[in-house]
Amino acid sequence: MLFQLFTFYNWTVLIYFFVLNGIYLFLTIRAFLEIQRYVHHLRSVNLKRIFELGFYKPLTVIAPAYNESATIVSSVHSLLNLQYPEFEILVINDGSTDQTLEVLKQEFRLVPSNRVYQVKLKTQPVHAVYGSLLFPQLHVVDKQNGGKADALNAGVNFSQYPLLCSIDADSVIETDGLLRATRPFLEDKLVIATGGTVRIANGCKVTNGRVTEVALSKNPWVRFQVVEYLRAFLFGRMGWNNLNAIMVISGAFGIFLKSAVLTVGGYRKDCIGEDMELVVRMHRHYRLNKIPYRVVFVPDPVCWTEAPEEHQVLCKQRKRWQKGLYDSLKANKPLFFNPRAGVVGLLAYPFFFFFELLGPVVEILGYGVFVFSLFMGWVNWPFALLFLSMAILLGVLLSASSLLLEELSFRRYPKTGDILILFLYGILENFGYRQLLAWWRLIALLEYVIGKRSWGEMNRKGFSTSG
Amino acid sequence: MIIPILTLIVLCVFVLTGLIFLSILRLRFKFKKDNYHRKQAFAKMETFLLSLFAEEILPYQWAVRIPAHELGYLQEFLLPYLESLKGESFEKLVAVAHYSGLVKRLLQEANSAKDWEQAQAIYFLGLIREPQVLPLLQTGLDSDNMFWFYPSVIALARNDLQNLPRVLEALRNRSDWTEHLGVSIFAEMGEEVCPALLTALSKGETSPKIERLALAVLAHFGYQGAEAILKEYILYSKDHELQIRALRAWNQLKLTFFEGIASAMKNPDWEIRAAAVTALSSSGAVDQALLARPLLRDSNWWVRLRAAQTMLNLSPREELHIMLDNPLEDRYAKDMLRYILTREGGATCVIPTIHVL
Repeated sequence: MLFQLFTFYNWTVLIYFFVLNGIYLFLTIRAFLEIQRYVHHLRSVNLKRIFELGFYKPLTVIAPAYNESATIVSSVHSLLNLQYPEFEILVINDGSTDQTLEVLKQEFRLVPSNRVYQVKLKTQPVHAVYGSLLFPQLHVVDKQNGGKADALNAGVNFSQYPLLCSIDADSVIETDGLLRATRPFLEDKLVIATGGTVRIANGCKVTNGRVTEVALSKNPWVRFQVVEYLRAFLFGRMGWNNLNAIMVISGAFGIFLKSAVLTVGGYRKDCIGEDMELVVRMHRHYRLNKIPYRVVFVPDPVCWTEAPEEHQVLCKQRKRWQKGLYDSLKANKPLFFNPRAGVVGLLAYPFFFFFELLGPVVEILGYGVFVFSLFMGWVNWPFALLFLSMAILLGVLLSASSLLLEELSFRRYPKTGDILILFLYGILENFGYRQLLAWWRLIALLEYVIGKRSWGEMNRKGFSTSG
Repeated sequence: MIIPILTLIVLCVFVLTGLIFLSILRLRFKFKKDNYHRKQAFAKMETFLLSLFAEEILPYQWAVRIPAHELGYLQEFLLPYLESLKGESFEKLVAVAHYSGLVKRLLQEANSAKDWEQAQAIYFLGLIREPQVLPLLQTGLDSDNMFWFYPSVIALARNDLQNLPRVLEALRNRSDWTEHLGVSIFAEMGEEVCPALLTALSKGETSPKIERLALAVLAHFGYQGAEAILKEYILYSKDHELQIRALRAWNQLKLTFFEGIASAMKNPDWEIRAAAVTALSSSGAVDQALLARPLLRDSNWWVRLRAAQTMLNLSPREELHIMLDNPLEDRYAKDMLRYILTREGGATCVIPTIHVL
């Protein structure tokens, strides 16, 4: 009986594995086609002309900040450096307990302002609003702590422009990032949200709020994450792009049509992964109500962000992401295998449910079953070795494909040595790192199920700066 | 059975990963080499360009010093100059392109099977107004691919104003172009396109998208002859989007006030009201400033904002301050006036907090 169960499990895992890798292969091929098309398209786009002709839509950048005193000044300088014809920056100080507000007041000569706003989304009380004497486009909203979603909602209330750009206060957007990321809104009126690429800034040189030299960090945890980010953005997002089934627009760099955000009720405050939840909810609203829309990923605008350098912080981050994924999927259950929701309901949502959410369960259970069968003497060694090799090689293949996509498109890492190191880390991640992530994600799932849903804090070191 | 299949898959994946690794290295190597040659070629061309404009050398003297394998770099180098220069300098660079054999090569590429190569060649040839490119454009104009269509239609637009009907027809027949793309196409024809577009509009253009585009182009060139047609659209058009465009064009052309603007300010559509009050502002009709006042109490934020800007432009500041001090004045109107006065006052004029929050 036990052996039959074991055989059944083996077959289930084998089918699961082939379906997962089949989808990965499908996404990789799509990503290759899409990126080639996109790079060609970029050559025919004259950004300067588009914006000179006045077809741009003014934009509000919302940067929620909670205890970001280490990075907030360089982040705001980076935002002030952005090229965009008409935009405002709203830094939302979400009840920081450190010196965030004081640092901002001092650096940007903030004075109280009487800015008018309409409460369209309920938020925690606002203590004060400040305007900068140095930069008229900079405003700081000081409010009671209510979490990132609450801070973003306050930003939506205060924003005066039709486009909203949500960013993490510890991130640095490339100077033409906004121009590039808002282009789809001008090309297609159905676009309600766009997301740019997020890359890891650890190891890069940041001067006056701009990444001036791209290099790879020496920290192994960071290097593993660089490979992961390349995979997630260049083949993950790119693959889903043409299907209009992008489920995540990173909170670190996303642009939304304000009216669409208000239509779906803004960011959910009781949710850990508010960025993903908002996008999934948008899909749900527009698809189930049969309203045409598009959510677009744009690979060329880049936002540089600081990645965790210690495994404890990384563990917290990944647990938060996993809980956020669970939250987002749970809150939008009506999409699950719903033919009315089209490709999102039939493919993207089930993919995220079975492979992203339940993936760690299957993986960790697999290791457990393997140890158990070893103990029972049931292991078919040739099969086990082949399966293991295939799993590792397919993992390496995906990472290598992302690196190839990077080489074919944007080539941000100038040193060949860095690319070779990344390739090496694409191999190494299969021996311990991946398993560790799966373990953390499994723990996060269990914590979520037993009701432990806090998301912890990330300690920021700040970028290595010069100038 | 399953073991051989798995073995085969493992081998295939292994080989594929190896090939990808080699491709990455090859691309790196190729890119570095290409970058080095490109830098050298560009440095050389910059020297020639300076000499050419200083009349130290003639176009053919530059052209004969360009080896065949550097023609791609020449194409890349010349492109931004050709896009921005006019007159004698432009003609000199076109002569370089001809003498060097670049035009001949591009004419071959324009017939090649590679879509992207074709598009780039057509774009360049259109830019230099090469008449031989015209027979090649039909494929691009019929193409489903926007990035192939765009260079073709732009090449057509650049060649002669007489091609306008063909350009309009090409645009009318497809829906995947955007307005800014449309304006860039017409911008290539220059201001001379405006009378032709006016004729098209007055003959009853049937596509609203083309009508919107035409109004945007007229506004872009600031074509004063458009006044009559704009009036017609503002007064009689049933298409809200077209009315908005006409009002925006009126604003861009800074035309004088007429009654149609006042009626548009009472339109139920807030975008029309906002565009109308902005048009009033640019008309400079100081005597009509009071028309903007009711819109300060409008339910829409944008309308209130534009109304406040108009009041600021057309009324004396004292009047605005009197409104601010009036306890009977609408709160939203006062808030907007205060906001606009703060904003227009500049960064050094932030009014202290007065508990509006």
